Amino acid sequence: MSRLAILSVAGLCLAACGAPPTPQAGSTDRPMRIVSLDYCADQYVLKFADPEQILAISPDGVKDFSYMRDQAVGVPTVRPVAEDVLILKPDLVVRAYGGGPNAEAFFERAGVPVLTVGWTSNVDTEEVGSIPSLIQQMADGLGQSERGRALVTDFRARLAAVDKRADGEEALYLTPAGVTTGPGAMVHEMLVSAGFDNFQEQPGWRSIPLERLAYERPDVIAAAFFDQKTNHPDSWSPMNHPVAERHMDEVPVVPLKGAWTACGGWFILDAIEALAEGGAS
Amino acid sequence: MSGRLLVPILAAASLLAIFAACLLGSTPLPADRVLAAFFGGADVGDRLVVWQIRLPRAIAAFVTGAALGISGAALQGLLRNPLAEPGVLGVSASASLFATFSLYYGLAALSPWVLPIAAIAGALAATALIALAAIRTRSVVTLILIGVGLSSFSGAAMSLLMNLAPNPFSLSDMINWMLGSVANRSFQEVGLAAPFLILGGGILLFSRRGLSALTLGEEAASGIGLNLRNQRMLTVLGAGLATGGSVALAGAIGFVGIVAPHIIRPFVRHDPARSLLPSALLAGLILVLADIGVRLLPTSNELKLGVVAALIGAPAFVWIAIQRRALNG
Repeated sequence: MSRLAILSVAGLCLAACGAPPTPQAGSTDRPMRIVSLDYCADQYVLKFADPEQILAISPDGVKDFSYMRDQAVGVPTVRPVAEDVLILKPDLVVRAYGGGPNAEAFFERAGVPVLTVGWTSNVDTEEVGSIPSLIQQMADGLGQSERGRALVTDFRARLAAVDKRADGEEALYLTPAGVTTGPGAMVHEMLVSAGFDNFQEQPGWRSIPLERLAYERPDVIAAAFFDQKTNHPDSWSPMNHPVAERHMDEVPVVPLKGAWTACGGWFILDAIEALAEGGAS
Repeated sequence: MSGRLLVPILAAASLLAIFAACLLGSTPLPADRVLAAFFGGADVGDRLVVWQIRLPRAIAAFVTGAALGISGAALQGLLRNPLAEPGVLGVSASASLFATFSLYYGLAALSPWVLPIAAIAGALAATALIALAAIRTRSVVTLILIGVGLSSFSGAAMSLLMNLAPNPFSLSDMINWMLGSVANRSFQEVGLAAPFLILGGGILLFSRRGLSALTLGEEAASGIGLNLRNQRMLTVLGAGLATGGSVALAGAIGFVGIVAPHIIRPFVRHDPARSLLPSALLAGLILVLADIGVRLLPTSNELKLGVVAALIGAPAFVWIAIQRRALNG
């Protein structure tokens, strides 16, 4: 449930939610007993924190939709259940959605500071809600500001180096359930950053426009999450329809790994680079 | 309306409704372009939209309804109870449970026929259980209660599958099996269900005469030469095949199998044998119209056909039940 929830909320959330109060942790008193409650938080904890800072991450950290899954191997895990977490005596809880909507208030009542992974709404076009600002916020909160600054510099350099498509080509974003999205979603920003126009012009997450596909075809299909198609057949998905199947056969498809887009972070660059290159081939 | 005109009128209305369904969709298409596309004219896009997107969906709704209507009418004749119906008796729920099971344990990946066959196995198992119980008990209430029990059990087993669902995508798919829908149906799926629907419908029509005899009561029916055992087997087999086929195509859609035969019965002088074909046509017509309604309603998420059918059908079920009580005193 949680992954879908994150995706849809992230997609619909136009403005970044107000940045939560970040626990002040300088290099001298960086948190040393960090517990991360969901795989979105895991990404940042695994990226920035030293192994000795990490007490436990979520069980999803090693799953194949987790970008940092290789680093997650061997790290102790804990289910995002309040008592399981509290018994570990963490000095910082990191979460995006893990533990449910009341988790933040609960842990703060128990005297444990909470670092929340903020929403992202753009790649790097505005200060508020951009991926670099989230990277820095997370690095500061984990007491690793320097690593955050280095990653932001690297992120911006790679983004600037992307060989953008310049011919006004249209890309259609697709998931195995036949869902796509328009302006206002991070996915839209991703397509635009790679130089594409979004084939879907209506905002919000919705079913692919099957009838429109009978008349028009996008130049490229950005096929996300198809690497995780195992064991979730969708019997009513428009992707099973012959009209959609023909598009998948005839239009160039750029496969996007689930781990690149399942959560807002620096790894969206992998998707942007793949799109910019895939459109060229 | 005389009984003789009933079938031609219903058939004409069904054709009209299917054509109307082809006029509706996310792309506005005027009637002349739809007509042109039907006969191979117009451009490729129009033909794709009409022949591959809209027509298969309307036909799927029609055959699903027709299968449920004919099964409902036949089961009502066999059990001599106007409340018998695949949905109420747990036949649809059991079929959708088997279908979902075959999908999530990877069996359906073996062959495209596994899914319809699993749905039919589920439907047959439930229908056979009901028919067995019908031999042992004369109480109609007991039979309905057994059906409700079966339906609840299938619901519980379905909840178990949902509980174990590996991810939200599987979960939403499982829910669709319970809600019932003909969204995004193509001729592939209609073709996979068709042999079973035709066979089931054929068996029910072939064995319909015995249902008339059964209105006299089981002893009188045997007295005039009806082979009760064969009649039960054929009706159970036919209803199981037709319901299973419809579930494989559209998931579990309830109540339409009650409403249609109930409306038809007065026109055919309460003869179950003569109610089969008109009930099938009317139930098909109802689902095509309900599907048009589903597509016209400006809700952000398209309503599921089964939900709309249940919203219409469940009050009708209660109404018929109350009427019976009044009749029985």
